[in-house]
Amino acid sequence: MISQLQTYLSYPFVRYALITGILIALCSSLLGVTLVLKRFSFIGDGLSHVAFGAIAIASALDIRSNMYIVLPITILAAVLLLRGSKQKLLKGDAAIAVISVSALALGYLILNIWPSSSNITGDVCTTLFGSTSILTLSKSEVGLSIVLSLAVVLLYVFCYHKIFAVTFDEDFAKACGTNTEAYDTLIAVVIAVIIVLAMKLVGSLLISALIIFPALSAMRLFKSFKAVTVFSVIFALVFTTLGLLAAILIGTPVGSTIVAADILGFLLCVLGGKIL
Amino acid sequence: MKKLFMILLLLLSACSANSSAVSSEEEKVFTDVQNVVTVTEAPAETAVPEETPLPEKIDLSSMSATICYSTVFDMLVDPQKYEGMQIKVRGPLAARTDAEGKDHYACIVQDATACCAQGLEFVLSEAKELPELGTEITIEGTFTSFTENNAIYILLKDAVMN
Repeated sequence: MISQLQTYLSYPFVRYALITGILIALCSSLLGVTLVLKRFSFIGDGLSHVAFGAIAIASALDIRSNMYIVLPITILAAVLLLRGSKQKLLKGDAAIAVISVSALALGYLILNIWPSSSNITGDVCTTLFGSTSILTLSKSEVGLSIVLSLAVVLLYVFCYHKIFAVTFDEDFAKACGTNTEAYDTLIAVVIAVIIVLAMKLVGSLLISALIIFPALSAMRLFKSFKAVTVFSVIFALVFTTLGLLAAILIGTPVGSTIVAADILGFLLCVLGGKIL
Repeated sequence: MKKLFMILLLLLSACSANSSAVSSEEEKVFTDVQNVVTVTEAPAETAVPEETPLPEKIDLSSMSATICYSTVFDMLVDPQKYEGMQIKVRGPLAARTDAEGKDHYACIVQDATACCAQGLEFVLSEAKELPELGTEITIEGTFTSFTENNAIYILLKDAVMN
């Protein structure tokens, strides 16, 4: 198995997949803590469905590099969802549900009416479940993923205290002079970027796992915000790597194998929380 | 948090980024059993950075479905990297007749979920009766690519069927 893994690692696309996958998991886990605490765990699902709809539009328009369509649309949806949650018309999970199912249904409709390839089922399946998407990245996609991931990490590190304040007590942070609307918008944009990147790793339907499991697992063991954040990052790195390597060696779909590894990690943390 | 991050940055400051030029390519894969010729449009620009050399012989039949599919995908994206290599592949036999009435045969490679498939066309070194379409075959041949009507095609030439 070790020699087989060494052989696989000689292929550049496998190394790209590991690097990109680890960076995506890192970013997802960082923002996951904030999202879980703000009760926005399912926003990843909603935004990924919006991204799926955007991919469908890009395919119908025969746009080769769909990031230029997907990123702006997903960012717009994220801002509308997170900032619009304060409005009375459509709040929280209802807003996510409306946007999510609409984008998914319309996206699939567009792909069927204006197909970009003869294998619609395969394209949809790959986008939704991320079977081998992470192993078929072009060099430009890898470069973009690295740049965006590093930007997210730097942003989080340098805005850590503000994000902490906005997460736990937005009203108090506002009273202290923090521009909470700006930070809400910033968090929305960052989440959208992470979702678009994470779709390559686990697909649209499983993105929430990357966001939720690291944070929830960390909360089983630690109580402080910093400890939860640090542990969720370690959790994400370890179990994403394990899932990716298992999928490569055993020959299972990458997305669902990573999520299965996350579930295992979560159960271990629940057990650990009860014992400790 | 900032201090910890700055310390980590200093420790890792020896890393260098790979900023090679990128090429934009688009692949269209026909996964229907009757359409197995894989087509890649000619890339706008190509740049091959220095990478670990691949082995001279690649046995796709011993790889996991995930890596096998990804490798064939990589062959479509960057065929020059695999030029001249001995490739062994196993999968169902598929065939297609082109507009000029010529038959093309391929070995189908599927991903882990079997919802995506690609065909690796082959040309046998000696004329041989082929089994029924859909039969699992093992093909070993020399990888080559060629351009026709501004599209890149890949196939295994001088192939032997086991």
